[in-house]
Amino acid sequence: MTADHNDFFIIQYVRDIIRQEGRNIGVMLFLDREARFYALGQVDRQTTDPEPFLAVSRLPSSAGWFYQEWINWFHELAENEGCEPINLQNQLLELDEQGSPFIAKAGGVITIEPEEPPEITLKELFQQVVGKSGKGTKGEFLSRLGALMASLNLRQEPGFVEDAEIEFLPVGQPAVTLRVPFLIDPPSGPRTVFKIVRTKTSADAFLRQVSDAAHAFRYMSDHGFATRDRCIVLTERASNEKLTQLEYLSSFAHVVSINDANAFSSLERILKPSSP
Amino acid sequence: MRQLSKGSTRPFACSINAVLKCDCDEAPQGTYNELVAVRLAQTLHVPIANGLMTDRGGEDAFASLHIGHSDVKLPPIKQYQHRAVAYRYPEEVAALTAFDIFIGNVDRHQNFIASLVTAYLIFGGIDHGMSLLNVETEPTRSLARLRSRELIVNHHPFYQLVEGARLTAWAARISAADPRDIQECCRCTTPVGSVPVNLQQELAEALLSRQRQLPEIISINLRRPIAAT
Repeated sequence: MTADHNDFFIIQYVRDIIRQEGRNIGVMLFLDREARFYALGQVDRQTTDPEPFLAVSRLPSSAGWFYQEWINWFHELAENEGCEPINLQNQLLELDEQGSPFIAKAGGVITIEPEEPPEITLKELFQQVVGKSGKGTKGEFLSRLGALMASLNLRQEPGFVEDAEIEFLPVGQPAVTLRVPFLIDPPSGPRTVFKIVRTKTSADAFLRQVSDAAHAFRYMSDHGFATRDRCIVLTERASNEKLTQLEYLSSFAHVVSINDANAFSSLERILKPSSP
Repeated sequence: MRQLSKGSTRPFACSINAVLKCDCDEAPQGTYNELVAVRLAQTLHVPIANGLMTDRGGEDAFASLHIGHSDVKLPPIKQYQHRAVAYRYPEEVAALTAFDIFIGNVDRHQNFIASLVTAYLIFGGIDHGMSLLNVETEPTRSLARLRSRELIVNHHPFYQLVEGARLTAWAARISAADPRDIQECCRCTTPVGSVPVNLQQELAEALLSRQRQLPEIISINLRRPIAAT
């Protein structure tokens, strides 16, 4: 018996359809007139845990249900249209044109040995294509950040907003929109603004984050939205070269590495300066 | 978002996602149709996407708001999922089917949103440009068809799936609506897109005629297999 060569498609989540920066979240494997699908967080055919997806997409937890709807949709698509692979592939490719948050790209061809169960191949393929997205340094960073926020009860703070957009309408000038991952805007008292700067990334991407954070904090300070003592950069361990840039940021905000043992107490002091 | 004041309700100015509809070759009166469809649906409590009038480059446009969540888009419903939708949302499906027959919406096809597997119950119609004055290319011919006792909607995703008793009940409910409400849904004080005020009045009259005839139109066609037994 000879090995089969099978097409596979990569399913990506694209939050910003203009920037088209997709995150791999699943794979669709084409067998002989049949298709199989496997996705991030999938427990079994009927059950999907949205948490791994929320961690990589940075969507609020209230959006988890929509991921579960989409995963079911891909399964039903594979089950109902898998007998006509070309038709199914065309439907997958059309997702991009439809402005869908999930799109598909041809991933290539994989060889399946005759004795090998397709489910094993599918899961191995998933590990190669998606596994890194969920378990790499970003996953660790987000996991650590989530734990830190939970221990500080940040999400329970009055006025906590995730993925906030702040629009400024200066008189006689164009509107300026700034985006921050977290904002605490309490009914009374000062606002607290957070930016995230990842160091485990390329030099270009790191510099872009630094510039963006510096610009945002300077603008917010200049327009009275938040003061320097309530601006926080959440970052991680950095090389000496990148430390210089982080030091530059410290003139606009508190810079807190979430890897540091004293990250919790540092943040607590910033958020509640009167506490011991 | 931008906080507007420090008042007790703490209002914010914000931007939200919407689909912008304008008059176009396929639906020359599309903007007006969208506006009237939403007004009618809200008056009759039929589940369709909310929306509001705005403009695009000085031209009238209709912004149809996303159903369910402003940031996330649900997957398109496939034909093999129609049965599951009808099973999960029997009342909403009956309402939408009766409504489509009322406004002559010949373009329902995949133009609805539904959640199918999570605890969130979300169902609603979208895209009503090809109804009302655009049943036909010419508004006058559209009006003539709306005044007739024609079914108009010969194909619909929920035919043979919608429950006959519920469909009949919704036809009666639409027919019992106050005629003044129907008129007010159609009439604006100014032209909307390419639709002048007098054409708005003509649509109101055609819809009042169809409203009276709707139970009979549906009753006659129940013998054809538009409803499940």
